[in-house]
Amino acid sequence: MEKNRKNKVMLISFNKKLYKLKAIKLAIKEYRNLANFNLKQKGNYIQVELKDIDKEVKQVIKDEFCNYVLFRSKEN
Amino acid sequence: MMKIKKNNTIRFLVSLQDYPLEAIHGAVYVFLNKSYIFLKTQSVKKIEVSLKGKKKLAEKQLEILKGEFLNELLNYTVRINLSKSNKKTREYIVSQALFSTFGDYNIDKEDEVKYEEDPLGIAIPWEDKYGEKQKK
Repeated sequence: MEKNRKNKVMLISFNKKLYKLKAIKLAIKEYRNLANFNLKQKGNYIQVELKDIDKEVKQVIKDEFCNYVLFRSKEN
Repeated sequence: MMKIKKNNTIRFLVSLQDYPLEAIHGAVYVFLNKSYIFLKTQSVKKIEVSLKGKKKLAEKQLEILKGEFLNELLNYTVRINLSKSNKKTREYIVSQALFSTFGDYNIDKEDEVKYEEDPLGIAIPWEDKYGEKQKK
């Protein structure tokens, strides 16, 4: 699995008014085996940094992760 | 309403004056299986919705997707407004239902008479009540 990972960094900014921190944390927990996640809070935004993304999911991880956060937002 | 179609994605603005945030989240939830969705704030009262097709979609199909999303948004908005306007009626009905149940329970308890008390005198033998039968 480690061989398949690249060092390119991906940044996603979630607005705090639209996304819940709890939902983002739950999504990170679910996706942690596919990349290394780093969470920061800057003003009105929650920034999620993805590093060492698994090559197999590199094309879809951002979209899938964002959808999963929205799914979790509705649940909580 | 602004529209941008690029990278299999359609972007448009939704006003929070017309649609509540709760309705936007509701419509988004319905569309999670159809498309990839991302929400951004454009200004205090405007939200940019990005709908990205999970499969490759033509421009026309993206327009249809957007139309369906807006219909769902309207559906949720109506539902939320109805729920708000019916709130007092719903609360009244529920409180009446609960009150009547509670009331019946109290009446039953008050009217309950233990069999040992025998207020109608059913347990008293005939002889004790009317005396023994006189022989003619």
